[in-house]
Amino acid sequence: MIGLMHYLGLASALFCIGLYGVLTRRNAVAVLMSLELMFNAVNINLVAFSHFKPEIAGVVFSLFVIAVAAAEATVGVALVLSVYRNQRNIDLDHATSLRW
Amino acid sequence: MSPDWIHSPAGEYLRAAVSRWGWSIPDLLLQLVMLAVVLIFLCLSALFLIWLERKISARIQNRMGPMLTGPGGLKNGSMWTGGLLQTAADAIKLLLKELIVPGRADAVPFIIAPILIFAVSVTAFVVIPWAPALSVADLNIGLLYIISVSSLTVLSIIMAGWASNNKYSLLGGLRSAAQMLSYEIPLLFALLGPILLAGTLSMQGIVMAQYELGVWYIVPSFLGAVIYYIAAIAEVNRPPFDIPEAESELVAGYVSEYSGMMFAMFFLAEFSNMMLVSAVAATVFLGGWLVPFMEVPSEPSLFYTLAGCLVFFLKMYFLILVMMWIRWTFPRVRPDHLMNLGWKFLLPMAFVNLLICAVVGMLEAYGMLTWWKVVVLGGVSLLLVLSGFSLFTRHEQSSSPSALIPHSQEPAA
Amino acid sequence: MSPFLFYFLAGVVLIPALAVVLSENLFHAGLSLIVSFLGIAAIYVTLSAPFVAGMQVLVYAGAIAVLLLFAFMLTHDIMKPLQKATRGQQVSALLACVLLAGAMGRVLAASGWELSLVSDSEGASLTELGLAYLTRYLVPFELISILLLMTLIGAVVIARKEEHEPTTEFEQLSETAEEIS
Repeated sequence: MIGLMHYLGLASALFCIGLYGVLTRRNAVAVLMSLELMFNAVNINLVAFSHFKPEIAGVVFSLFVIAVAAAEATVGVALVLSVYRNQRNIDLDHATSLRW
Repeated sequence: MSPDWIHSPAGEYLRAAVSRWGWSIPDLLLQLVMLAVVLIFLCLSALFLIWLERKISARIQNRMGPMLTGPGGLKNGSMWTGGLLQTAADAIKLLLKELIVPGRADAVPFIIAPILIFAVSVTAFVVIPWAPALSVADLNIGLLYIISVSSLTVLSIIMAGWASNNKYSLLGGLRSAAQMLSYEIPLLFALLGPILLAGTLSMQGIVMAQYELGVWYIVPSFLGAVIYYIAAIAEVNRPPFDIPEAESELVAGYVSEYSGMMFAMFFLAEFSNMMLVSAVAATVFLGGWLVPFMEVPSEPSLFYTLAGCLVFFLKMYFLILVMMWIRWTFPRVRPDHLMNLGWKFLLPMAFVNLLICAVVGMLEAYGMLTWWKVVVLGGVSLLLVLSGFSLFTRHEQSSSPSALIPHSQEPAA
Repeated sequence: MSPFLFYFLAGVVLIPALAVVLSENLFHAGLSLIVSFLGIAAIYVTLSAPFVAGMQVLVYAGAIAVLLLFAFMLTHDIMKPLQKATRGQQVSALLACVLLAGAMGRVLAASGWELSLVSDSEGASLTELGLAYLTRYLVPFELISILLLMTLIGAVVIARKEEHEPTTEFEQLSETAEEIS
């Protein structure tokens, strides 16, 4: 039978995959994509707990996570666009003008 | 999970018919049969609608339209029914044509895109209530399901646009993404009013709620119906909102590079999406399968099922016909006007609609709802549409580039 | 739920997720991201949370992923090859991920939750969910709407000069927040 642990394992795997993407990707949009994967891993956990230990908070907060993730993606994309407008390049290694 | 419709009159009838041959059908098989029926209905209906559209456009432009293929032929055929088999012939021609994938195209997304766009609209039809208790599956998040599934349409358009590796395709894809994302919002907000009134997302539940209220939701939520209809036309990329595939500027937008059956899939998808938005509008605003002036029997009856089905089709086809009429009557909207219409007119109006629906819902909850209050609220919303629209058009005229043209160059009124 | 279905869905989630982080072609990465999101929506359905699944498809697959693809198309320079991490960076990233996975596995093993904990809970109905949002979780709910308003304004300010695409996406989100109630 499939139980809570299976879902938590799936979420952990997804989180690690996302983390690998965040660490290795250079393109800002690709980093955002990997971040979304990590958000989703967290969401799977929330919904799984909510299902296996019946309590509505998990579902409630998973929807909050979706809303926050959307906000994050929008601001992220806006930033990417303005960086691109200034530098014609969205490789994160080049966005160093604030670094010292 | 056995769907409701299996125990509906039509399902029982089917079961009885099969058991007469000494067989019995499992529920899953019945559901598959129902799905197949819906799919075949969609394809045939799309073929018919394509013919109908050509005929209607011809009549609007004082032409004959297709006349040769089909009963009668050019000489003996009637002006109204000639060329009935034209689209069947076209479909056969398209099926026989070679599928061309351009050399520099991104092959996998290029091939998946037309399949996806049609699959998505068929998938959404799963929850459409055809008659009492007769839908493939009556999910309790039905309307949300339709909205979320059909939000994937924009994805396949982007895929087609990018994968074609053609600047016109890409421009069409980008334009359509902007347009569809913008118009999804007024579309959703327009539906929120009826959802609020019905208190459920299930499609059958929304129809039953209209029966219990006594009037179709187009009365309390007239504003919502108008906004939904406009946004839906934009959502399916029909003229006057066909900027993504504007033939006269972008060749054919994202379908430029497609040929043969893949092109036909886009065409089919356009018509099945039209049917989808019309079916949703018929369900949510026009009472779905509710037959006017008839009580819904407490015991499901075969007669009411058939009558409900017929009435539903009539409502759906009426909405589609109006869409065609609009298409052949109005010129294409300019992109900046399109965005302004969505954001500055439809969205605020949708908020107003939500408020009006909330008032109606409260009145109903306290048992203070009388028919004249509904009519007054409907009148208020009608007034708001008209005044809002005149404000909006005045604003558009003063802010649009056409205001920059010197008066002497404007044609005499 | 049958193990076969779960492992199938896990494959639908994880294999495209790998493609997202490994693919050389960012457009394909974006498309795989959508497949992965849809798989996760199916996972939610198996967890008896169909409303979350609907929101997942609507917001993630229908809006966020499309927005990211859009951003990719607007900023993609075909002439420039995709810049990749060096071998050393890849190895150390892989090491970090493996370590994290090991740590999480250790925590899960130590948690003492039974592996086969099975639930037949029906999941929260929409009514319960709506009530929860407007009673017990009212403050976070209102905070989310303020957050969405802030992002709306912020995105407009940041991306002001030419595109107003992000705003588009934004409203979509505030609408979902409304819809949740």
